[in-house]
Amino acid sequence: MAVINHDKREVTFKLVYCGTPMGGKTANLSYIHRNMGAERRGELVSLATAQDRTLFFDFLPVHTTSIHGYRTKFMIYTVPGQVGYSATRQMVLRGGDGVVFVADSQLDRMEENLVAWQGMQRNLADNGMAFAELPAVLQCNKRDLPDAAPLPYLEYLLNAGPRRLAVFPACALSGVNVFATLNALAQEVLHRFHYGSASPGPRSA
Amino acid sequence: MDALPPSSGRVLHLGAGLIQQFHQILARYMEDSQVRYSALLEESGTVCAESGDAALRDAGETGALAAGAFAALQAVARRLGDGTFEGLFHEGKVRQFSLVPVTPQFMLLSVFEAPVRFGVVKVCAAKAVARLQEQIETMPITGRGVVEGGLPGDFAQEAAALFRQA
Repeated sequence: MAVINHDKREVTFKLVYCGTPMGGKTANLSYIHRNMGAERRGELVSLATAQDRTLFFDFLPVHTTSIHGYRTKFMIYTVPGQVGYSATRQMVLRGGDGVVFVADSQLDRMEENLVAWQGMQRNLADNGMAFAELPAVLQCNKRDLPDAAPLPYLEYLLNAGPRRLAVFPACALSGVNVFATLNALAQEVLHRFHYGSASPGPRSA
Repeated sequence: MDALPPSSGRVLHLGAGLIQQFHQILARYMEDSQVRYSALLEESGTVCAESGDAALRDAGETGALAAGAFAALQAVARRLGDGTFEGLFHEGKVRQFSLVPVTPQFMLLSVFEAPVRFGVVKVCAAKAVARLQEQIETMPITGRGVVEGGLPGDFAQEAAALFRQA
């Protein structure tokens, strides 16, 4: 839920990176943390196992320049991708103002992509959140790998429903389209915040 | 996990008057209980109002972690058959803290040190929670951010390139 603090002149939104296990959700946040000026972001907090698998969530607060005198803050979370962590995912998704679904482009991860996609939809529904109305973008990560599936195939698998999301082919480790993905979601969230409805259509990379 | 009222797509408006009320309640609570720091957190960890030790004021990380810990323990309690979750308490060597629910979407964080006792904090927090609940009931929640006297102009259009690399 967005919070407007008229006293501090600050608007806060919650963004959540969901997606396939080991698909690059934490890599997105790490890249943003490394490449954003320290004056515009807080500390990256990771609750992970010894093997660097996200156990609970990663968290990074960032803020943009003021718009009409209101500082805009985004609290960015990732969720654990593993199937067994559904309850944790549902908890972190609660109150989210927008989601990025990070899919793994490798051909042998298509089943995991689909399971994670359906799991996210189920988690949202269990929270009483309507995916059709939630600002969301699709990031197809690991496009640099030789066994990356063709983009149309990933789109056919995950983005062929009545609602078409903006799609960003990315490489989170090197930063390709990481900020573009974040920008697109932030703008969708702000559009909804301003107009009270979803933006007119996807603007993919 | 039980379904909760959907909060996505809703906008919570914290006006200056309401924040002043929150601050007064927190200030009185701090005076009564002698806690060092207290904050009213929204379910995602956003600090709606805070009072006390400036060194403990939060840039976002503490609120997010506290909200996560609270939600996780509440879910554990529910799964173990206890639907009446009353919050959590950490007894550290240097510093103690407690988190208690105010409403399903808000919680009160209190940080304190010896010689302040948890029992005293618990009793005082219960009074503060009741006062906070009264104020939260008056809080406007809308489906969009722009309200009369709120944010002027086309907020979204001006946010053309929000994030860029340093």
